[in-house]
Amino acid sequence: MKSNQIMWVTVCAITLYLQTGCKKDFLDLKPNNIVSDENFYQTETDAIRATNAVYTPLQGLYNGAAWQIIDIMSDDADKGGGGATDAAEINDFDNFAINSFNPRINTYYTQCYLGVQRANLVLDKVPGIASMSETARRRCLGEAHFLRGFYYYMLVRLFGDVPLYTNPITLLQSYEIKRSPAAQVYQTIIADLEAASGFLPSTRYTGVDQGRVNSWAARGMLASVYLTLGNKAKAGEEALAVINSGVYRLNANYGDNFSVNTENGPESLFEVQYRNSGGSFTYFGQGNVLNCWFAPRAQNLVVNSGYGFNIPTKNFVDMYEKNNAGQIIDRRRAPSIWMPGDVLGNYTQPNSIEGSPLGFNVRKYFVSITNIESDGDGWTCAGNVPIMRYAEVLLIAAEAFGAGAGELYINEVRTRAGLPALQQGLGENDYLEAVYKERRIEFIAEMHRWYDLIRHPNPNYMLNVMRASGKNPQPFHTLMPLPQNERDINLNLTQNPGY
Amino acid sequence: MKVFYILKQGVLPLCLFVTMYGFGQTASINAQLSGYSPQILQTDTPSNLSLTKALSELEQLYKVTFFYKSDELKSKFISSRVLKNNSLNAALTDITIETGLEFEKTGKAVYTILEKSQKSKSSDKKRDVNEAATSESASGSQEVITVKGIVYDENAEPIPGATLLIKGTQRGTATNIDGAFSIEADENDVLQVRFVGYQTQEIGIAGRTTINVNLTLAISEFREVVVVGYGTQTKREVSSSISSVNAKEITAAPVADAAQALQGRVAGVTVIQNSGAPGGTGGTSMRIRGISSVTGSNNPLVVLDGFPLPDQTADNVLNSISPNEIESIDVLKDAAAASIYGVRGSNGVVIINTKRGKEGKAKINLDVYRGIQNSWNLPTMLNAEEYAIINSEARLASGLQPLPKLANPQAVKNIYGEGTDWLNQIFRRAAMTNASLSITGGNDKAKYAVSASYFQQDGIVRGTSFDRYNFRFNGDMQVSKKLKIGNSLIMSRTLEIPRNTFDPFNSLLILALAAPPTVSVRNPDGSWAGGNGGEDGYNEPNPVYDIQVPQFTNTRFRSIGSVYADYEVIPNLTLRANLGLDFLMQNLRGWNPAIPSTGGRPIVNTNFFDQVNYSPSYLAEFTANYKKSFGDHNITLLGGYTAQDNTFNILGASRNGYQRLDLQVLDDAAVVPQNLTQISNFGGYGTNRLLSFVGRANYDYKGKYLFAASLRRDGSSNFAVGNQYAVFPAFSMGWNISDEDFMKEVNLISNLKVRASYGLTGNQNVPAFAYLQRINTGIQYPFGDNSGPGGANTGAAPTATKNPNLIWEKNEQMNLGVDIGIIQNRFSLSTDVYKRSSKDLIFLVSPPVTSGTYESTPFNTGTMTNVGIDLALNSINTPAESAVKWNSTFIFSTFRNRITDLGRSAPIISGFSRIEGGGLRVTTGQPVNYFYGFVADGIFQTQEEVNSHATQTLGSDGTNSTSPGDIRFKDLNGDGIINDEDRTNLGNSIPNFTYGFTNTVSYKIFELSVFLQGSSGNKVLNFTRWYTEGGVSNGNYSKEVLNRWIGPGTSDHMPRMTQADPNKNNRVSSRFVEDASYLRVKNIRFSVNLPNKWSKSVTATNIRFYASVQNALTFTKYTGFDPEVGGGVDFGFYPQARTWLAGLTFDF
Repeated sequence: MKSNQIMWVTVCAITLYLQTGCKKDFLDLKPNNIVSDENFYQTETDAIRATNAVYTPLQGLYNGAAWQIIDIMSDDADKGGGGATDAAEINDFDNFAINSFNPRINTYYTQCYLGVQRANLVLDKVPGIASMSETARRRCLGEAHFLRGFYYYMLVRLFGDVPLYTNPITLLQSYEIKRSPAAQVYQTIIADLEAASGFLPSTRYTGVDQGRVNSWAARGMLASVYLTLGNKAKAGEEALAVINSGVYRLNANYGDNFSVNTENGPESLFEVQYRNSGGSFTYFGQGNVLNCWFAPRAQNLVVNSGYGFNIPTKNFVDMYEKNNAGQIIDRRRAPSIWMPGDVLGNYTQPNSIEGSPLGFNVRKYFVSITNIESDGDGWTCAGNVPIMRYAEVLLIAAEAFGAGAGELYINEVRTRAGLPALQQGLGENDYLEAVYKERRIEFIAEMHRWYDLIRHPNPNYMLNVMRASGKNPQPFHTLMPLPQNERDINLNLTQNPGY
Repeated sequence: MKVFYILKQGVLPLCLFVTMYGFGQTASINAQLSGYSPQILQTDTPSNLSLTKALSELEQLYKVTFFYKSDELKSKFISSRVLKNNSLNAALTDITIETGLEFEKTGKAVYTILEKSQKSKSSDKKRDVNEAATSESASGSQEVITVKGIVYDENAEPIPGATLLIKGTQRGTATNIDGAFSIEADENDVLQVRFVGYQTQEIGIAGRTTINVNLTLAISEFREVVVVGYGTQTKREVSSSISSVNAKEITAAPVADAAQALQGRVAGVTVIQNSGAPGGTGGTSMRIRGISSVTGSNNPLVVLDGFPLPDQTADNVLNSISPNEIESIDVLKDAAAASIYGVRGSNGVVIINTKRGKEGKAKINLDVYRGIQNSWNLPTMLNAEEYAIINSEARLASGLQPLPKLANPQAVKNIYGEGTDWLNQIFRRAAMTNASLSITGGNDKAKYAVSASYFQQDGIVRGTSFDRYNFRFNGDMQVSKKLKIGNSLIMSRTLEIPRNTFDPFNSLLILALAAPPTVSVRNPDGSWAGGNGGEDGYNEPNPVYDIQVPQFTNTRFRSIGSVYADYEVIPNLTLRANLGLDFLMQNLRGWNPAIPSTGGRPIVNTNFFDQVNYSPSYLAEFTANYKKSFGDHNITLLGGYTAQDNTFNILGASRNGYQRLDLQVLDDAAVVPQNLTQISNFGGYGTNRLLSFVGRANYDYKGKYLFAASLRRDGSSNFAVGNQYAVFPAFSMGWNISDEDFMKEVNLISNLKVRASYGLTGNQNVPAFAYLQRINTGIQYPFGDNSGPGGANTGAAPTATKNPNLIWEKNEQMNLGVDIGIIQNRFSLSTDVYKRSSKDLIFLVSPPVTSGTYESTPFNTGTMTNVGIDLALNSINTPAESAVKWNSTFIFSTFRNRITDLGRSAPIISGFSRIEGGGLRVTTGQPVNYFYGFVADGIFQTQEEVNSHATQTLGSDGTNSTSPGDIRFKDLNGDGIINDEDRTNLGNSIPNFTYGFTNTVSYKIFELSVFLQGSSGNKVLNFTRWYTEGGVSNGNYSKEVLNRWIGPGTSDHMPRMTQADPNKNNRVSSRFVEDASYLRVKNIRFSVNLPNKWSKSVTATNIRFYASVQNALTFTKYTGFDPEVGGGVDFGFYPQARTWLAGLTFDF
């Protein structure tokens, strides 16, 4: 062969090699600088991290939406703050001028679906992870079921029919998904909570896992769901199971439920975990904003001086039981709300504060400015926010078992509050009213009241009570509007009537 | 050795005579005519070939060059048999036999064609010049003198092989390798000087014995070479839209970044210097024919010596190359030209080739210039007394007491005088220096070009500078008859000392604008002053502190190199392998010392950071080229594979707590960290690959009808399997109408060509793996009893949905072009009309939150169009024989941009972070990034006017509500309230048109070039006025505010002074939108070729002296620093300097 030909052949061979040999895998780069669904969900650590992320939307939900809607809309509270233009979107709940553009509605909706989708991913991926212990797998699956059930519970109570999906949703599906009937959503919630109760351990977590939910949290939440659905038998059954477990007890001191030093205490079934230094001036950081937003306005009791929102109404304050001298005897009052004359160190709550003409403020979640470790730079308070306390389980039992059988439970709560036992022999309606009143006082500023109002067996209860308190909702306000920006891109989403 | 010719009478007027630089051999072929007649041979084979084609084939085949006057050969045809010869001599003999033409070897591998008829008229053979001289002098009647001199080209480089002839005689000579000649002539003779590609000159000897000749380029497309993707074409063959810029134009301006040299030189290319920072480090944005992407890059692909460089985030990829090293820049503008670069071609392609060696004696070139730069348009700020008056007035209007320090303006004047001139504190006069040395040369086996250069530029803002060292070696070696190998290598090191001149909070320029004149640079005790609120009520940092205390360096090492091998497998088929590497190593360092007094920028712990970015890119290309003619049918085929791998690695670290200030390194000797808070380490990594097939076919019929088609199939690792490949086809056609017979009679028109093209290109600026479902690993939730910052558990979940269907943005482009040459191409016009349609534009689309995600996902949605016209006009204003030469070039570009559909994306708002509401907006039906704000409608003169107008700001008095003296904003929706709904389109930064106008006048050794450049109709949102008209609390003001409103009728444009600004006079409004049209005398350059005897005295062949001024004058109504604002929002960019310089060029 001539040298020319050798060269020619060599060049061709190299070219061909590069064309064919390289081509196969040259572009097949492993995405080695990216964590994606192709290399995630592989290990136990991945499973736990995926599950942790399901909890995270709780922080934004309780910082940025729950109190603004559930508390301020109710007869418990008025907006407060610095006048009509200060956080104007919250005014709309106080005044029932709610529209579908309201950003708090959007936050509520968004945070719940973040949780739903993340739970779906855990439930979809974790069963297939080979290298993980069964204990961890059951815990992850159980927590995901619990949280998905919880998020749907939050959605269905506020919006009624909502998009329902139990597998990871794709982007295109999310453009088209329709609302499912509320009844169907409740079925999913019950199934999830039951599944969670099956997967999860029945002991309280301690140490580094404090704040995770166990099977009793699932059953407690199930009791709440059944109560909302009017199924008193099942509600009582689930509540009793929790009570009989002996795992929980009431804090001797009611205020310990809201103190940064005693969080995740013996009464806590489920609470939002917060820590400080996790992003300031955002609802979506790691710290709670309630300390700053609820503290008496501009009194410098907390970092950023306090904004004075969520002002307890006179209607609420008047509910506290008094002695003959007209003094409030309920021990829950002082840890729950500020009233004029309350003293803390050099500070005395004045008779009137901007936004709170009667000098009332919420004191739950309060952490003094002197504890800067709790709130380094504003909106980053470390205190947790309870979602379900043992007291609620007791009051569910009290309501479920009714007058007589239920009194045991309500009285346990009243005793801790320093109140006498409930008057015996109340009629069914009066008894229910007594339980409602107990709940109202027990859970002030804990984002329960609105849902109590709308789940009452009397469909006009909410309207009657609210109008009596001086607020003026319409019947359609039992459901909130779906966010408009969501309906703009998903044309299949219908709107609730009235909006 | 001096070589002389006698050329045959009558031949010269028809011949263009040339040699390469390696002119040295004198052999000639004088094929004797035999008795054959052409007719006989034509019957020999039916397949006739145009002679010009045959010659072209032979050129390819034997690597020779023929020179001839095309007209005389166009009509000739020969049999294709001549190509079947197995030697050049045999082929030439055949052609001589068939056509009667003769070939004279006039240089190494260069032949000049003589017509037989003319040759045969003279029976004289070539004779030695001495013989000729003797014979002529014998017959002469006048005094015979010896005339000597040198013939220069347009770059004042000597031309070897130029021919000189005594007009009307047969006596002639040619210049030697140094361009020198010596000829005997009568003192009244006229000398004709010719060289191929140049205009012939006639010079009366008039008794002189030394005559230096400067030839000017003939304006002919004949053999003008254009660089296209993966090859070259002659300009005649091109049917797409390509503009070229030569070395002379590139080096005309004293710039570090060759991209800046393109400004105003290329029709269809908008070049905006984003900053006057030295070395072009602030970025130069090149936009070819508008804007193709909203979210991706609009930078054209830069191909340097065949290496497609990775897109750089800062548009300054070119500032590591010395403009002196560049031979040519070719801009591929339409899709037909650019689509051979496929997915990287959407923004056009800029092909840069550096200088390569040429055959001949070593040529040494030394060029040195030195210049001085200064600022030319600094705003005038208030002096201390005026500031005290205005500031106190503004405070009173806001319900605040005047600052005690300023309460008495007269006292302020007594204490502070004029006060601190902060702009003067940060600006300076600055030097720049450039020196470059190059050596080129070679022989028929090996050619080389070696150069070294140094560039140093201090910025006109103190503390900024740039310097660069460059080394280059390009070599080409003919290893064997069929194998050629070579390399290109550029190495550079640049060192930039940067300062913050770009961010709206801490740019030195705006800090200097805003700093009050009553604040000093330093306190009486020598510590840094300012920035501490206090008695000045002014909190912004001290810009002089920022220049002198923290120190930053940015060092880049870049090597771009490639080796190639060309192998001619069979005649006409060449294979090429090309392997290349672009190696970029960047080192960023920052030193922030903690010193007691901080000028408003407290640094508690001395901190040092050191970051290395290492970004190699590898290239492999294998192409095959085939070129052949079949009769009148000419085809060229190209096919090949290319593969490229781009990687970046970032490694950085910082340390706190340096105990001493002299060891500014990351080394244990300097700092031993005591705990984790003193340590911060970070890194980054990414890679992407391209694998592509390229193919192109060119066909023409008789050179008249041109067709080209190209195709690139690009595969990118950035996309999901299944979406990795995309095909980018393009087609173009051209018609050289002037070659048609019916045009032969139209003498006025010397060249006429129409072109049409269509093509598809892509934009790959999608982050790698964007199609994947990313998992956000930054999600936290704090289990356990940890409440502190360390207590969070990590969580992970997707926060954006995946879009596995993500693909490249696509650009369709249609182009229609006409090239016209009039009067022997003395006037030539090239114009193109184009329409670019961008589709599948990537926008970040917010997902429905029902998806459980909230971050935007890149989506192919949305379309955009750009329609425009490019125009380039060249004119030689003086006749060829005129002693004064005057050439003009005019460039004009215009385009209209419009977003035709945003698809699923919501309108996009961006702009100025110090004012609420952004300022730039993208919506359907409008040009991209138009200004969006309120319409200012004069000033309220009275309270009645305020009351009768729509509500702006309500309050109790002038301290908190709209009052007389405030700006009236138009209530566009008529709802009686001025709110966000009353914002509208306030114009945009896209010019109506841009232009460049160059005039070059030369006379003998002198040359003057004036380059004007401008832009018309572009608007700028001038936020420098936000700073100087009351935006910064207790900051200084510009002199303009002295015309403020102080009572009814006092002003209808400058509102009252108030610190609280309850009316938001400083909101984004038409108040700040200014017409930034400008006309700039960009460059004036004067050069002198020193007389030859001076050059000789230092053994140089040529010495040229030049002086120039860059940015000599700017005519504009714009009130900011500089009307040239990248992006259209001006918050005080580094202004361009006016530069005066002088330089010397030596050729040896």
